[in-house]
Amino acid sequence: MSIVAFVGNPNVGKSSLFNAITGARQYVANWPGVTVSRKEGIRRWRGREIKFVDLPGIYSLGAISIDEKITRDYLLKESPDVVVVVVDALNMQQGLYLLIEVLEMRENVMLVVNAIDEAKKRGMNINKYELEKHFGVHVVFTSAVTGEGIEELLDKILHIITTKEVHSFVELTYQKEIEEKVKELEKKIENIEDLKPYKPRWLALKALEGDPEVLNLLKKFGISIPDEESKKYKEMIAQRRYQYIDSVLKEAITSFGQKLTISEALDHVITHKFLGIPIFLAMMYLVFTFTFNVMSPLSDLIDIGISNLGEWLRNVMGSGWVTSLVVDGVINGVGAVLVFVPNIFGMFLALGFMEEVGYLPRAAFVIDKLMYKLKLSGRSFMSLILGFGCNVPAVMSTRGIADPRERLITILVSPFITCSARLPIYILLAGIFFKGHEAAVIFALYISSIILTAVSATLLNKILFKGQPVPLVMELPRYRLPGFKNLWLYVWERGKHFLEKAGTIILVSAIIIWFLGNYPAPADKSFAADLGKFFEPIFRPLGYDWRMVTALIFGTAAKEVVVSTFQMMYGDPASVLPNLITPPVALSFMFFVMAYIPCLATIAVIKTEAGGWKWATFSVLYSLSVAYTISLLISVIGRAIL
Amino acid sequence: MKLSEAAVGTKVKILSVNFPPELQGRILGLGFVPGAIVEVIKEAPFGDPRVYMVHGKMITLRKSEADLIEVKPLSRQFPLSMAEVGKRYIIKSFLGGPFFISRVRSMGIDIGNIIEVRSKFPMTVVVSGKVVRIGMGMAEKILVEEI
Ligand SMILES: Nc1nc2c(ncn2[C@@H]2O[C@H](COP(=O)(O)OP(=O)(O)O)[C@@H](O)[C@H]2O)c(=O)[nH]1
Ligand SMILES: [Mg+2]
Repeated sequence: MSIVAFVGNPNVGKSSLFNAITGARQYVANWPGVTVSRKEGIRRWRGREIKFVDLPGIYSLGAISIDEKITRDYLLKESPDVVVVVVDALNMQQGLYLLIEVLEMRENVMLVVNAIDEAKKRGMNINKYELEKHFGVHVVFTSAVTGEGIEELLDKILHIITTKEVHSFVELTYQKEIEEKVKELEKKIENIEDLKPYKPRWLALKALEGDPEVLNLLKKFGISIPDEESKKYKEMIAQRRYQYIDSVLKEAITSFGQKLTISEALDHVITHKFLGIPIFLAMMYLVFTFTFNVMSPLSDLIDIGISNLGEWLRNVMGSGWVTSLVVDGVINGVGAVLVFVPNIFGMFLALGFMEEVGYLPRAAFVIDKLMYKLKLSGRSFMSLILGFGCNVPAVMSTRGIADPRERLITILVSPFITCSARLPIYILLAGIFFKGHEAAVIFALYISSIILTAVSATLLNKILFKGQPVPLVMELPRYRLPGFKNLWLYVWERGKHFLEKAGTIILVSAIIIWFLGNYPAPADKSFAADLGKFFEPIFRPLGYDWRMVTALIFGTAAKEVVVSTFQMMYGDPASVLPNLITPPVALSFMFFVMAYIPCLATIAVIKTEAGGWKWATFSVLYSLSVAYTISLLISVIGRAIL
Repeated sequence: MKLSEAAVGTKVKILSVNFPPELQGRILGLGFVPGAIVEVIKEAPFGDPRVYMVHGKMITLRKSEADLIEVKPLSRQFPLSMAEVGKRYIIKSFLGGPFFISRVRSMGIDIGNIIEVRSKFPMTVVVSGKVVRIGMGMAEKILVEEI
């Protein structure tokens, strides 16, 4: 099967094109660094199967951060049949820079100018033939949004696969000094058998640029370039590439069209020197209000539906252990979690809107000074924000962070970011103990979770690394009006994960908990009770009931399970709990849930991403002690005040 | 001078880029190459980081990073806050939003007008035949050129 790879800067629409072609549902977002590993999909076109590969976005083919390495290694070792370099129609320069780099490395390259719909809307005019002539590649204009040009793109790809015809051969010549050096190196390289798989000119240029991997390779054959020289050559090479791009674009762009002034005015306020931070906080608050106040009536409806279903089943099936398993175990246990589906979809809708519009990198920009104090950067802030959905993708997305130290710290602190699985517990307890102030209490929990993350980052930096700051080099994407389809895809992709969990791990947990809670005898004499009572002494200072302890233990599988366990153990938590614990203890419990052990899936991904059990174990122990300390404080202070 | 020293709203030309090797490639790839023109767009709360426009992209850099790029001024414009006492300047452009612009206009400060600095701290200027007091924050957003 022929293989086609998409390469390009972040945020130019590679994943959108990939989705449009393969029908896949790869997540896209209006901020750089979303695709962190490569994704593959297959499309049949004119009777042939073609495999498409979506690679992480990069700015150069050096090999520093993991995403750059993935792309470069893929191009070098997997050798796809066609490499499609995707650039953004409104801002082609950086993408064309990458095109030049790719062309130096290999053949069978073509260029896609994407987001042509936006260019047209502005009245921007790009001359395709100038681009083809000066870069020696076929060019197709596409829009992943309207679908324009996709068929033409597929035809061009097929054309290159079947005929190997790639338009023409254009080689960028560098300054005289560089070209002389290249010739000299090329001569040496051509004679070495082991270097045959690589293009000699590419190796020579990379060596001059001081590429560590290439220099390492060449060292074996006695070729080396001193550091001071490569620094100079690297600048010269980059400069020449941009000179060439500027000169080509001067001919290729015949009209720039109108700039959008609304976008500028909006940006002025949103990233304002004084208003920026208040606006950021207000946005977050809006997200939470939307999540509760707007979505609650839907939750109530589902709640009524589930209890009616339970009652109905009880009537139909009569009493007996099967009925109890189905109604008390499965329906109540899973239902307890399903009730929160509208809230969770609501939160994703609000967050998705902010992401799609392009607000996130701006938020990162606005609060970078604070992140800097934590020796992190706005880039890790963006990974952390993902954690509000689920900690697993948050940990995965740290792959785009170049600095290994910052990456490890981001991985280790990200479980403190309250994921959507913890939300049901907050909503349940806040609804019982803090009626009328739910949004405020939950907002406070989220803020605390952010503070906890920040404090942990500072601590870890001090203890583990005697930290130094990491750079913030980040692109601010232009504002975009979120497409309805894209927004829905965003909400669905993430919300779906929650539904899937309800159907799998939570369903299984509910059944297990029902058995543990009913055998050898129901309630007080069950295994679940033994388990809870065994650990209860540890939690006595915090004031937790043994059933709460049981719920915490089961909750390590997935945090939603805490709610299912409550439902099964208490029957109706809203009427039982207020007699057992005070509001401060409830608050203490919410904080415990916020901070304690990451769920199993997160632990597993920490292990793979941070490299080994050492860090996963550390994360578990650290979060447990933090949770215990904070909750103890809240309970004790609460008791003193009341 | 360093890129970090260029005032908001001004344009400079890059002379050299001196990042550590791990980052140099990405910075050059982003378009910060010798000869490129950079515009300082705006600064974040607390003055750091700042947004720069290079080769059509808006890129954020912290002060510590912008320190590593050597530049030379391109336009002769600079903020009024850096003007000298007793000299006369011509007003070239404003950095603020629509509110800011209508406010300074109402004080007689407009593009093309001649402005003379009487004193700094507090800043008093003569413009359109009137003597006006303006704050330092405001003076940072008024770009002028020597005449
Ligand atoms: N108007 C328009 N927007 C697009 C197009 N392609 C992608 N986008 C948007 O650009 C953003 C980045 O897209 P994505 O596919 O994630 O880019 P990637 O980082 O290159 O994979 C998203 O908000 C997309 O909705 C296009 O052809 N036209
Ligand atoms: Mg992508």
